[in-house]
Amino acid sequence: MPAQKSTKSWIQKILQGDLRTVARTCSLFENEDPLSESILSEIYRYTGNAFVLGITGPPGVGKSSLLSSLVEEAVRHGYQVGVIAVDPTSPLTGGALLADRLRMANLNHNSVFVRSLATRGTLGGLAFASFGILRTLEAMGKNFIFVETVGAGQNEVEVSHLATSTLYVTIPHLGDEIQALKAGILEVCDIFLVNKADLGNAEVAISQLRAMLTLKESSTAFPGKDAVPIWSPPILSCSALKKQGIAQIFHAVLQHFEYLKSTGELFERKRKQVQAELAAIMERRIAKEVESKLTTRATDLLLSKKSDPATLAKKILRRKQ
Amino acid sequence: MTKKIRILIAKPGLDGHDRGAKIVARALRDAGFEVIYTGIRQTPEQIVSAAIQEDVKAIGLSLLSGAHNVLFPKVVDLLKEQNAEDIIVFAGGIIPPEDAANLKARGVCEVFGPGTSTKDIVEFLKKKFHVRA
Repeated sequence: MPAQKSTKSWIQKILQGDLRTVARTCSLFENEDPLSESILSEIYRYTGNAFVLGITGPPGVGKSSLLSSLVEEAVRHGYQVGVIAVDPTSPLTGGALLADRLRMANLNHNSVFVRSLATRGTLGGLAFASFGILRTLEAMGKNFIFVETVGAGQNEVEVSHLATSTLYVTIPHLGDEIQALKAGILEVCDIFLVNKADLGNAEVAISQLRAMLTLKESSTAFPGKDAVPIWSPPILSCSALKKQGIAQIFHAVLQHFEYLKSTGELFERKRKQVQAELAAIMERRIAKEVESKLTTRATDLLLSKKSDPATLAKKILRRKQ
Repeated sequence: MTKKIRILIAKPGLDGHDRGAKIVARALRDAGFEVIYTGIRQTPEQIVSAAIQEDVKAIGLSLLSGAHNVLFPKVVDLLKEQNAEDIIVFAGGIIPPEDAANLKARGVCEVFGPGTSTKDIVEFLKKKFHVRA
């Protein structure tokens, strides 16, 4: 852990891409060590330029395997690649088994920096530390960073708070057209993939997704004369295991990036993302503050019925101001 | 948020008998550790690279093919090469007692043979990293 006076050389090592320093910095963010805050303020000016690709979808659809193939593709295209892969923390023991590396076992590039994160209680598909670690990887010089979420259900849209583009991965036989009509995660994704297409019936899943996306387009698109072109999310099938369709996916990702740049939506997204990052850090501070107010005395007041939760909450918050 | 101890569980060598590694990974998870599981057939280079990137405190190696005398010290040596000898290495598998002694002399911190209770492994790590029971 860096002493105050050596923070400068610590930052220098991050910028030079020293692996141990970068890895330890990631841990500082995970442990919410106060030092991580001063590191962030030093490296922040070097960040914000990487292409960040979010990969989300239900558990077991093959996100990690797909990630592994896409990482190889990105390396082939000459990118400096970083990976942030999130798996769940046990709510009972606080422990976690992080197995995203298992699917990346054949990844043999020393240039790829992979960090497995446990959610440590964060909801929404990411870990709180994801923001800080993303900034660290950018500062070390990574310009293509993958962020894989926890197996996400329907409402985990947080990945869009840090990803430039987001891939949604599903498989055949997972749900009917009503699932696809529901609100949430499907609304924030840019490219849709039906993985395990070698199992058959991928066409059904594709047509259900297409039906949902077509409805979305027609409900929002009454373009005026100066309207910017609207991105219609491609729906692709692939087999991560058999490495089929990977090049097409990567091509679609790059196309989407071009679209974002040419329409100015990239800037719009970045605006929303820095807001989301600021909000996440503030919410974290407030949550800690709230936790510290849950004293035995407050608890006793409620148990003895000397106060009620509404009155007490008002009282505690007023006292603070 | 409390500091979490991170442990890498890996299987070097060519055998695919990963039951033991998975059971240990699960037991450590249940004991509150963050376990990074890499799966089978990892080279010592891959294992050390993963350990450094993941900033783990310890590497647990499992091997049943008999190549432990070569592969375990290789991991220890590579860690030294990377100035990462603060990451401890512990091991399990079919390892004869005389080999275990030799491995310990070469820098493997502890060797757990067949029939070891997962409790003993958890206790060993908790003691090593001063985790309250």
